[in-house]
Amino acid sequence: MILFAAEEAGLHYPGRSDPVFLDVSLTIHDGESLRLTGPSGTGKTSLMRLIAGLERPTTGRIATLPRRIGMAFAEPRLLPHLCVMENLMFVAPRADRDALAMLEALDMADLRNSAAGSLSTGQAQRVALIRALLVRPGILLLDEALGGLDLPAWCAARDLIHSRRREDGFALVEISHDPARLLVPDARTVSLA
Amino acid sequence: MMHRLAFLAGLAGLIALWALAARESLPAILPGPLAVARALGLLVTDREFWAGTLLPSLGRAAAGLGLAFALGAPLGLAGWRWPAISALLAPVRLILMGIPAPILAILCILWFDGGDITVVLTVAVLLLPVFQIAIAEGMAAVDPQLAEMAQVFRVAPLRRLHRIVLPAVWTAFGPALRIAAANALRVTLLTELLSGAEGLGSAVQRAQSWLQTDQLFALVIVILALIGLAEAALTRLLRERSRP
Amino acid sequence: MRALLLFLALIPLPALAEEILLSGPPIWESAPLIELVETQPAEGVTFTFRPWASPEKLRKMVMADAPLLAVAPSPTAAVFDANGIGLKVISATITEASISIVGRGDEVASLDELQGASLALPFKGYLPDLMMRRIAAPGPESWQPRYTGSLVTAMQLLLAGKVDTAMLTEPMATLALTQDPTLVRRADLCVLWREATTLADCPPAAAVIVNATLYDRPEIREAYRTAFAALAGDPGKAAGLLARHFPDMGQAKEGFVRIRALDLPMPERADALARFYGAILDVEPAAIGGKLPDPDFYGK
Repeated sequence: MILFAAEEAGLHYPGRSDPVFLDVSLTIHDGESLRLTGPSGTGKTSLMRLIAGLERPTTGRIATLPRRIGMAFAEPRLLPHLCVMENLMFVAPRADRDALAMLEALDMADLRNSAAGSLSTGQAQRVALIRALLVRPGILLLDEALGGLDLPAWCAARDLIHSRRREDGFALVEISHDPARLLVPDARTVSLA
Repeated sequence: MMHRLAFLAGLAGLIALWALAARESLPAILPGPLAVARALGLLVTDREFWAGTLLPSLGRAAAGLGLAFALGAPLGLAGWRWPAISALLAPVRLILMGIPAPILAILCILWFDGGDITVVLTVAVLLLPVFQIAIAEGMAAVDPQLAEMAQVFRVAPLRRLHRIVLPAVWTAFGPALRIAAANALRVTLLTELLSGAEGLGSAVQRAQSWLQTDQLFALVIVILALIGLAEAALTRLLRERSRP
Repeated sequence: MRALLLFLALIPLPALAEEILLSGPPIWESAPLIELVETQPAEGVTFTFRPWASPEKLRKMVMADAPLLAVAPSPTAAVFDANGIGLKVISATITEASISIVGRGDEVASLDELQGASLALPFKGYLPDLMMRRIAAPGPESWQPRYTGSLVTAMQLLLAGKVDTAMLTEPMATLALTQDPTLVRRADLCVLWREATTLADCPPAAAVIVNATLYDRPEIREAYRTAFAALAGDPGKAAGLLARHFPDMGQAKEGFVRIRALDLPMPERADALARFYGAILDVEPAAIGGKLPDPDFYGK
């Protein structure tokens, strides 16, 4: 099943002289793994936003958009006044047991009632990852979402993603700058230049 | 504890000074604390004061506040969404914000019936720009990153409103509401004073011209208490809202 | 130089004239005071006129040490007296035909005939309201008050058609009638008052008061009475006098000519003023300070 299909899509932000990218054709299938690469400023994040439906192409067309998206942004984007559990319930109000299980898997159950604003970057990134997984996504989009984690924490996060993936079978699209930390080292690579 | 004691001591000192000064002058000029306390007691136990004076004034202030919000909030939203509307409304807003309250009150008295409608409209017209600006500022304070996050996760509109939009709007709207509530009461009194509409304002006027100075003081205490209560309630609401 | 100073010091100074302050609001009753300023009839006395804008200002003038003779609403004089502010009434003024009920419709002989018409008049508890309430209690059967901030506002509401009738004093009543030919003088308040109270006199709405410095000064009273008599004989002249301090009153002549002004000297006519207070006491005791003034108030 095709989750996302772009045909010769181009993106040009108003007020910028050059387009971010032009003529990108991309199809993502169910359960596929993808890595977006390219030097900075070539539009990796913009392409991911296109996949998430947050941008519309200025040229070309999008034939298919994924339905259930889990996304972890480069910034955690948690609601700072709410505690960790409230942040997770915000996207999936009935998944409290699932949320707690994932917090335990990442060794963060103690923090469930802490205000999101009081978390460290690494803690917040892990909560944002759990939030993305909690909606049982058809596609998981990770935009440098685990950059702030130390190695053990990163490994735990990776294991959590893989174990959830075995259950839910979601497609995975990743942007990562660190070639040593790839969730799926043999993923299909989409290079932007 | 120490602070509270010091506060009480200050208050007692003030009352003692007042009592001393009152002994030196006519009750009609400066009534003593006891006389004012008695007048206050009579006032707050008088059904007619509640039904005929206090409640009509409070009702007018509340209605004016409500009307200002009902008109100002949609205008603020529209101005935030379409900046052209904000520009279109700017001249009217500048006039309304620049016009002194007594002058607006006099104009409203001339154009409307001189009773409830005049007072309510004067309050509403004066406070409308406050709400319009507060809502527009509050909407502009909504974090676009959080709004996007909610969009990606397809969060239900009501939950988005509750968790993302309202807290942001409240940062600008809360303080505006606190100012507006106290001003609603002040403008109500002023318009009542000028228009002759029965209420707290004309009660103050009557107490003054009949030299019932003890009653005048009691009325002032009631008014200060009302404004203080309104401010305290809203401050508390604000603090609760912004608590993490 | 020193010799010059010495010389100057030795020149006998002319006796300084006593200065008496006169004060009143922009109403006909204040005109005799301005007449005093114009004619300066009392030897060794200089009269000056300064209006009072609020009862509070008047109270301060009464309590000051400077000699004061002022025109005040009679209830205000009683309120001052009841609160221990030293003053005496030397005269009261009746201005017959000076207060009218103006509106659209026929003339009425009693307030019942207004049949619940809305009537604009200044603040509740002020003299116009007190007199109206003494004549007939407001209600759907008689008249329904629409309180306004001032007489001018009452007139404006009437002209704008927002009320059926208004209680207006001169010159406002005449002014309203000339502005809108559909308006008529539906009643003279004085006639209604006599009918309702069975009192012989029209309301002595204004009191001429003096503070303690002028209690025993028959020549000042005499000067006032002479000035009053001159104006009572030619009431329209008051407009020109008032206009010196209240420019708007220049056009008041037309309204003032119909006034019949009567002076009630105190204490001789104290009974008339006391009966008026009695009538007000019936409807709103607080408006005259809660009790009838003592005989002393009238200079008895």
